[in-house]
Amino acid sequence: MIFHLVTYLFDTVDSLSFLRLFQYLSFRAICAALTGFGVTLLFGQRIIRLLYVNNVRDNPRTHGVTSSDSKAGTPLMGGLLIIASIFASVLLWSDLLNRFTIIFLLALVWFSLFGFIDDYRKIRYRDSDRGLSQATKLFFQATFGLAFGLIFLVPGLSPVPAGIASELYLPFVKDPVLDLGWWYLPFIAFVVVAIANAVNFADGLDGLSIVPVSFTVVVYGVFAYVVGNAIYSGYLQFTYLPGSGELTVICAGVFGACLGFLWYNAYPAQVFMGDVGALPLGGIVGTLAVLLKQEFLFVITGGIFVAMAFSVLVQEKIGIKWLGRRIFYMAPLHHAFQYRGLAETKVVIRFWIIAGILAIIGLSTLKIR
Amino acid sequence: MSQTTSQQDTERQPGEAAPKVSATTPGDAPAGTGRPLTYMFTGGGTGGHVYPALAIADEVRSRNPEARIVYVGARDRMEATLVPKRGYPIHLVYARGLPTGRRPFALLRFAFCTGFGVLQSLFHLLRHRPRMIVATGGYASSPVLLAHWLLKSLRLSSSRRCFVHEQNAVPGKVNRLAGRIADRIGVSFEASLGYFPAEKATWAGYPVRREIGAVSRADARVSQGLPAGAKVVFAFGASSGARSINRGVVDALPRLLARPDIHVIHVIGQTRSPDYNAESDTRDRLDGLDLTDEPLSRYHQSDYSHEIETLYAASDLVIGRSSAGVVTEIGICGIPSILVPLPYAPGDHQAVNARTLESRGAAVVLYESISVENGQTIGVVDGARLAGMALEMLDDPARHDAMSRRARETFDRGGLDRIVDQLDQMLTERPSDRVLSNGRPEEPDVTGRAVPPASALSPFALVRRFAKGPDQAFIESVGEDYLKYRVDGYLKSTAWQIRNEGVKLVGLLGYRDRLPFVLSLLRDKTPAPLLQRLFGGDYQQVGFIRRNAVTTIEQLGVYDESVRTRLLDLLTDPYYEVRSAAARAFAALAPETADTDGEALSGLRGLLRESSFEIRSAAILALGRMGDGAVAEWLRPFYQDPNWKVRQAVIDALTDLVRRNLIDDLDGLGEELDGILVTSNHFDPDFPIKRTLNRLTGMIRGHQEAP
Repeated sequence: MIFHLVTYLFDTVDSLSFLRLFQYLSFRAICAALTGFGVTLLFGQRIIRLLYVNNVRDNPRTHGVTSSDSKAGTPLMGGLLIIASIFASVLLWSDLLNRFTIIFLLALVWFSLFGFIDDYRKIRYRDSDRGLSQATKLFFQATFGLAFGLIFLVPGLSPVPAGIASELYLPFVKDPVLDLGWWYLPFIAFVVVAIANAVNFADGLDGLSIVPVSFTVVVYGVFAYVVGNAIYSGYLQFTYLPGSGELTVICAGVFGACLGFLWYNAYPAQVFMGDVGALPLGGIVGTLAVLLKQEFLFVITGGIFVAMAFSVLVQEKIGIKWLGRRIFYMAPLHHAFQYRGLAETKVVIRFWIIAGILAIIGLSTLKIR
Repeated sequence: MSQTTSQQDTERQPGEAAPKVSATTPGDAPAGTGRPLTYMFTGGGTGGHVYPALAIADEVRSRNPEARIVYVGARDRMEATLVPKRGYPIHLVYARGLPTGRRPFALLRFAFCTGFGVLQSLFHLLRHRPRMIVATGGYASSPVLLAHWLLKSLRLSSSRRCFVHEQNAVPGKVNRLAGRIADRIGVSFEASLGYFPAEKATWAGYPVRREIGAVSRADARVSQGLPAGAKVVFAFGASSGARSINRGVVDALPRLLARPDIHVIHVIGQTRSPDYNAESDTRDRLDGLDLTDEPLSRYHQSDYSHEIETLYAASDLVIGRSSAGVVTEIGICGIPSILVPLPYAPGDHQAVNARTLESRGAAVVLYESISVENGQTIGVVDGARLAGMALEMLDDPARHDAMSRRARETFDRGGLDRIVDQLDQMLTERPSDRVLSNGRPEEPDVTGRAVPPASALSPFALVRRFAKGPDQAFIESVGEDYLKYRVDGYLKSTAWQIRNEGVKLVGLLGYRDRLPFVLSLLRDKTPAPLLQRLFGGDYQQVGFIRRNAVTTIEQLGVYDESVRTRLLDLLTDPYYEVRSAAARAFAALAPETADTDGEALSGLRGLLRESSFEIRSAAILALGRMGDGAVAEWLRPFYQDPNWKVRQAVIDALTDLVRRNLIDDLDGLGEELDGILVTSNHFDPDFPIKRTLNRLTGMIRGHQEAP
C-alpha cells in the first residue's frame, strides 16, 4: 500500500520526486524484509502468550506433571505469526495489482486456511491424530494446484507471456527442453503438492524447516530479480518474465518473517509453527517455483526437503506397508539421525549447513548454464 | 449366454409332489383368485443356507398343497443338487461372494456376475410373479433380493412380500443388506436382532426338520444296538475341516473308553482331499493307540449317517461344530454338547453361536488351537482336554440335566411354525402392519460375560490394549480361551500384517504354549515374492514378524535348547533388526551363572563387525552379560567407536563383567578407561522451571491426600 501511495504522490506532487526511491525493487525488498522481521519481533511475544493461555499447545497439560526434560506443552500454531508478518510486508511494499502478487496471495490464503483448520481440529480434539487426514490435505493441495495451473495456462489470466507458460526449463540448461502444452497442468499440480508436502515433513525439530525455507526463498528472490529484469535476464540468458521482479519483494518479506520466527523457534523452541505455518510455507515455495518457471531448481536448493520426503515415502510405502521391514532407522531423515544418537541441536545445525550449501549451488545455476 | 437358454438348461422338472398346474402354466395366469400362490425361495452357496429354505418350503407345501414353489440359486453350488432332489424346480443364476481384500479384478468379476444374476432374477421374478420371496441368506440370494428391490423401488411389485431368515448369531453380508430390502426378517438368535431395523426384525427361531427330536431314546438305542444304560457320546464334524475334531476324538478315546459304560459314536465324514483323508488318517491314528478289542467294541465309527435324528436321540453328549443348524438340532433334542467352532467362518459366527450357547449354560466351548504340520498350519483339538470335559459332564448328572434343560429352553421346535405363520400373516396383512413383539425377553447369562464389540477384538486394537500392560478385567470379560482362539486366528492369517500382530500378542499375553509355533515361524525361510525381494524383502515371514517373534520369545522368558538354536541362527539373519533383537534376547535370556556358551559368544562376536551401530551395541551388551573375562579384550577396539551409543554399551558391558568378578586386572582396566572417548554428540535437556513446578504439584497432591 505504501507502494501505491508513493506512486500516487510521486505522480502528482513534483516536490516529492525523492520518493522515486520507493519504485526500486531493491529498496522495497529491503523494506519488506525488515517489515517481516519487525512485525514478528513486535508481536511474537504477545501472540505466543495468547496461544499458551488459550491452551493452543502441543500435548496440552491438565493439572498434571510435565516432564522436565521435554518440550511437551510448547504453544502450537506459531505459523499464524509468520502468515501475519508476510501479509503485512506484502501488503505494504508490493504492487498489489501485479498478477504474480495476486497469485502469491491466493496461495498464502488458501494454504493458511486449511493449515489452520488442521491445527484447530488437533487442538480442539486434543489428539494429534484428529487433524485433517492425509487424503483431505492432498485434496486441498491438489485443488489449489489445478486451479493455479488453469490460471497459469490460460493466456488472458496468466502472469507469464503466452507461449512461455507451458514450457519446461531445467537448471543448467539455457533453452526450454520441451513444451508440455496442457500436460503442464497436472505437472503444476504435482509440483505444488510435492513441494508443500516435502516442506511439511521437515517441520519436526526446532528451527529445522524455517532456515532451509528462508534459504530457498532467498534463492528464488534472486532468480525473480534476474528474470524480472530485461537487462539481467538478457545477460544471463534467461527468458524475460515481465513483472516477476515483484516476487523479489515478496521473497524478501517471507525471508524476514522466517528470520523473525526463528527468533522464537530456535532451540529450545518457545513456539512451534504447526501446520498453519508449514503448509503455507510449502505452498508458497511451490507457487514461487512454478511462477518463476524454476520447478527443478527446488530439487537443488530444497534438496533437504526432497530427501526428507523421499525417505518418508520409501520407509512408509515400500518398507513398512509392503515389505514389512524398515529401510532407514527412522523417517523422516532427521529422526534417523536423532536415533543414531545426535542431539537435536546438532542435527538441526548440520541440516542448516547443508541447506546453505545447496542454496549456494542453486544460485550457481544463474551463471553455469 | 442368453437368459432363455440358461433357463431351459437349468430348470429341473418338478418332482411328483409339486402341483401339476405350476409346472405347465408358469407365470401366465392373471392375478386373481384362480391363480395359485407362488413362493420364490432363494438362498444358498453353502448347505447351511439351503436346508432351512427346504424345511420352510416343505412346511409351506404341507399346509397348502396348491402353492407353487420355485427356487432360485447359484450355479454349481449345493442348492443345484439338494433342491431338485427334494422335488422343487430350481433356476440357477450367476452369483458370486464378495471377494475379500482389495483385489480389483475379483471385485470386477463379482460386479459383473452379480449384475448378470440380477438380470436373470428380474426375468424369473417377472415370469413367475411370486407373491412371496423367502430368502435364507448366502450370496446366492443376493441377485433375487437386488432384483426385487429394483422392482419395488420402481413400484412394480407392490403386493409382493419379502421375508428373510437369518440363521446365525452374526448375520452374513447379504442378509445385512437384505435388512433394508425385506418386509420382515426372522432371526434365530435374539443376539442378532440388533443388526436389523427394529420394526422389521423379529425372533423366529431356526426352522428344524420335523424328523429331528421325533425319535424316542429307547427306540434309537435299540435301532443302533446300544445298551439302554450306556452313556453315549456322539461326535461328528461337518464335511469341512473335520480333521481337528476327528483327531481330537480319537485322541480322547483311551480315557473315554476306559469307562466300561461309555460308548462313542463317531461319524468321520467323507473328506478325501490330498491334504486329509478322513478314513485312512483316522485309522492310522487309531492303530497308534494300542486299544484292546473290548473297548474298541464300544467305538462305533461310520463315515456318513442318513439317520442323524436317531443318533441324536440315542446320545447323552454331542461333540460337534457350532453351525446354527447343528446347534439348534442339538438344543431341541436337549443334549448337552461340547462345541468346537469352525475357526473364522464368515463373521466368526460359529464362535459366536457357540459362545451364545455357552452363556446360556447349554454347552461348553472347546476352541481349536494351532500347530504346524508339513509346513502347513492346521487346527488342533486337544484330545486330553476333550476327554476331560466330556467325562466331567457325564459324571455330574445334576449338571448334565441342567445343561439339557437349558438347551431345551434356549431352543424350541416352534421355529418352523412361527416362520410359516409369519409368511401366512404377511400375505394377508396390509403393508403398514408392524411387528408388535420384538423377540423374547433377555435370557440370563450364566457366564456373566458380554461379547465385546468386534472392533475391540481386532488384532491392532488388542495390541494397543495390551501394550500398556496386562488387562485382566478385559481378558475375563472376553474369556481367556476365546481370546487365545482369536490370537490363533491371527497367527494363521495369510496377511503378514495380521500375523505380525498375532506374534506380538503371544508375547504380550504370555502364551508360552505357542512358543513352538513362534519358533516355527522363525524357521520358515520361504522366500518372499521376487518383486519384493528386488526391493529388499527377504522371507515370507517378513522382517517385522521375525523381529517381533524374537521380542516375543524374550517376553515369554523361556530359554531352552530350541530357543537357543533358533537365536544362534538369527544372529546371521538378513534383516538387521532381527540380528540386534536376537543379540538382545541372548542378553536377556541366557543364564549368567552357567558355563559360558562358546558358540553364542563367537556368534555375537561376529556381530561386532557390523556397520549398524544398533547391532554393535546390542552384541556388546550381550557379550558383557554372557561372556567371561576374555570378552573385555574384544571390546577394546570399540573405546573409540564413532557412535557414542556403542561406547556407552562398552562401558555397560565392562560394568557387567566387573560386577560378575570376571576381570582379574581391575587396576589395568581402570587405567584403560581413560582411553574411552566420552565426548558425545548427545545430551538430555533439562528445564528447571518445569522441575520446580512439578515439585509444587507433587506437594499439593500430597496435601490433598493427607487429610
